[in-house]
Amino acid sequence: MREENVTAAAAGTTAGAEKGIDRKASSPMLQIQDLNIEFHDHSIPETVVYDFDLVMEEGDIVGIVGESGSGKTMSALALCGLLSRHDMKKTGRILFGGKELLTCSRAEMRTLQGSDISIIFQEPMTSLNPVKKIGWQVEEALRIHTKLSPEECRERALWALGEAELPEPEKVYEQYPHELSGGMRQRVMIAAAIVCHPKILVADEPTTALDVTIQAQIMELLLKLNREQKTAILFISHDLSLVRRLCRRVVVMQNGYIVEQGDVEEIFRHPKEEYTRRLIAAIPSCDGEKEEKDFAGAPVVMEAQHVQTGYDVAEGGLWGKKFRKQILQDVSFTLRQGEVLGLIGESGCGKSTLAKVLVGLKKDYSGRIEIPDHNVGMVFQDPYSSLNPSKTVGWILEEPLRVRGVRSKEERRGRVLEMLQRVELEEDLLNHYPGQLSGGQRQRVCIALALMNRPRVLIADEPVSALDVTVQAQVLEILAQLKEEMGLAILFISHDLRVVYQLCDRVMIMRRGEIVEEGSPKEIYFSHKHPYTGQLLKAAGILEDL
Amino acid sequence: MKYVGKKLLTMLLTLLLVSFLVFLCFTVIPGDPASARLGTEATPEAVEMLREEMGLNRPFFVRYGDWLLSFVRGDFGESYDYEMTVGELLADKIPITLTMSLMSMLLIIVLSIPLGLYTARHEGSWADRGIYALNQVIMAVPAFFAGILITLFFGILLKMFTPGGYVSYRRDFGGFLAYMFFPSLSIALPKIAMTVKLLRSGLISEKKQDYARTAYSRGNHTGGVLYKHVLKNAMLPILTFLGMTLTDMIAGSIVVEQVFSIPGIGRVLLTAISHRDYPVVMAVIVCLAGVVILVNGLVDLLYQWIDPRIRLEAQP
Repeated sequence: MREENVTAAAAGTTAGAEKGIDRKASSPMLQIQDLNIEFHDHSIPETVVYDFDLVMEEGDIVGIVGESGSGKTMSALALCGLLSRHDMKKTGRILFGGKELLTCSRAEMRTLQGSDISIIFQEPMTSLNPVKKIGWQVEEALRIHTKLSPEECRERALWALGEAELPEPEKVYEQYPHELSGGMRQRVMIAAAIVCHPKILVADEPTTALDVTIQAQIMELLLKLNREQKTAILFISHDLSLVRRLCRRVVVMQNGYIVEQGDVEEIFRHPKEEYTRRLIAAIPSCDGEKEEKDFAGAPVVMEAQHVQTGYDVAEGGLWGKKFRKQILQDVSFTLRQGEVLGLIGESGCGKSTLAKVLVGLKKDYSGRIEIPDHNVGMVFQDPYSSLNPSKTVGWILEEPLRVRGVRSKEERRGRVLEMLQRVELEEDLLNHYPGQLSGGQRQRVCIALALMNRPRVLIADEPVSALDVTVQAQVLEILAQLKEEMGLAILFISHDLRVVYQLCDRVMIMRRGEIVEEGSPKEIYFSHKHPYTGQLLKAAGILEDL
Repeated sequence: MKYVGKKLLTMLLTLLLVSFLVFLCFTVIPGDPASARLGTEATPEAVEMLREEMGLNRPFFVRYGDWLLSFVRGDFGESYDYEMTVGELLADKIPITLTMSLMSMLLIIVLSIPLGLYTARHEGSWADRGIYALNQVIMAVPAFFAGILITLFFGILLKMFTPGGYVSYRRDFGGFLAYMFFPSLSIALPKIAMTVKLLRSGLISEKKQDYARTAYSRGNHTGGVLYKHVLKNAMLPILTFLGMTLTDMIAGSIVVEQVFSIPGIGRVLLTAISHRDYPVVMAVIVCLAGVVILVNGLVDLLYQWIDPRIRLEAQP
């Protein structure tokens, strides 16, 4: 069956869209046709979205998937009227409830924003106003769009907070954003978005900044809202597996174009386009066979025994008392040559603190750390801020050698070139500045930098979390190669259970500064003992897969 | 309350330290009040006698302790120079300088907040660029020179006030306020320019924050986003700046009082320093330090009132 009211141009790409949805003869709730978005704030206009088409009905859940720069967020912001009319040129049509959103006045657009069309953003930490109470912020859309009395507003806000499953709505109502955790703030964002019963809720990477267990809860909440309130959801994500768990329909985008669009399961099982296939292949999975290697005979390159540490927290001001906040409680492990040890934990569990202690950036610990050759390389999470932007890649890579006293220019150059080859970067990048490199290239530079002094141990703290899936796959590939070629031992810190499964020979699960479980990936993923491990596996959707 | 108590205690300690340092300074620097009073013709014996009489030959800590005790009792001593007690002198002069500072502060707040909001809202417009250029010029003009220009323009050319025709607040309060307007303006002008610039850039960068986008997504118009969301956040650095400005203005008033021939604290301080009139200098400096410390304390409290995140840190 084919929709009559969709124009011929749009029909081509929305062909897979009708599956299983009972269409009325009238026009759909939302219809986007041939949307093009051009940036005009530089001298050369730059198109970021080409011919975007989308049809949504009441109660639909549609996902938009793509890597950074694919135009997924731009399309969503255009729908919400949040792109500057000044710097962006938009052509095409966005029809919502019979209104043409691209040409209507700003005043008309404002009557829809926050009432019929709502949006939640990626960063719950910064998306709420820090100096206003939660209640005030949740009520704002009501004050703008309705004539309810303050008491009625309060009642509705409390209802919305309850609906977003925040414990003690009355207490939260009086609190400020900084008093809430990231997951709670995202719930507040959702409460504020649904307070006017929107017809469509745009969720722009709503769980990317959150831990897996919280992520799963927020997804549950979105599904519940869709079921009970009939709110249509446009879910934007870079994570295909999340989209698969939530959405019925998906739009795959790349470089501003729609690559493929249709039923989620259909696309997962029979992707038509090469790019979609690559995206799916890049998702780390836990079903691959893993050979179990025994490292018992290999020399120990790093050993930690009963490591404990914490931070001094001052109680403000000249007269405040100090107390110590324990971060690591009795952490012990050994790492042997050639082994990749995964360390999994949620934010705040102490995994980065452990890395700091191990490389010697934090010295006030108790317990014993032994690294026989005192040489550890370290790769950080954010390749965008870890490199000095005012120096060339060549200068940066030579620095560890200069510090170690390698005087000869030729020798330094030679070693840098050798390292570049190992991380598969072109030689001419040496004269580039970090700002000119892509995220994946930068992270490879960071890895090369960490290995310049030929350490036998590499500590990688969430090295691929900030990267797109396809880039992530490349970087992981390189790490695996380096391990083989250089006999490197890697302590791989991550919150992503799938990545760890692929790469690591042994896995430790950390919770509140304690290692609660340790074992081979098979043991951990298929026959875990600690309930917390089970919780993590379930939240990541791995237990259901099996 | 506990927090305010601690704060007050810290403020008192700071004040004590300041008074000690000032006392120490005037003991160490060359110059002697006794010889200053008797003139260059005086015999060494006469000077020595007067020193004994004034108590200047007692040990340093005894003199300091003595001064501190009477200061706490509200007795600031007697001026060597003027024929009155320091308390009377200050009571007469402080209202003048205080009026001028408060008037300047009022001018800064009333003028720069609307201007800052306007320029931030119409970023890049002709008005914005014009105000920017004007700001650059005004900022570069020191208060005393602004005072001279204002005297020339408003006083001599436009005849809106009589230069040098200071009206005592005891005789004619209205006339006093009218005369004080232009000196206050000349102190305020450079500060207004700075505040507008600071507020504008603060508002513009806050306007780009995620929470402002959230505010737009709820259907706010630009004004709503600016007034209801962004302004309070952008006011935080302004508050610190205004706190420092008030301190600066008191210092600036010393010069401006000369330009407009106003018999305020600044003038008293200048003559007292050159005549080694220690009781007056001590009292004025400690009072000024008190004002500075008090204003900073107030700014801290205001900060907490505006920013809930600081409240949390201060009252765990």
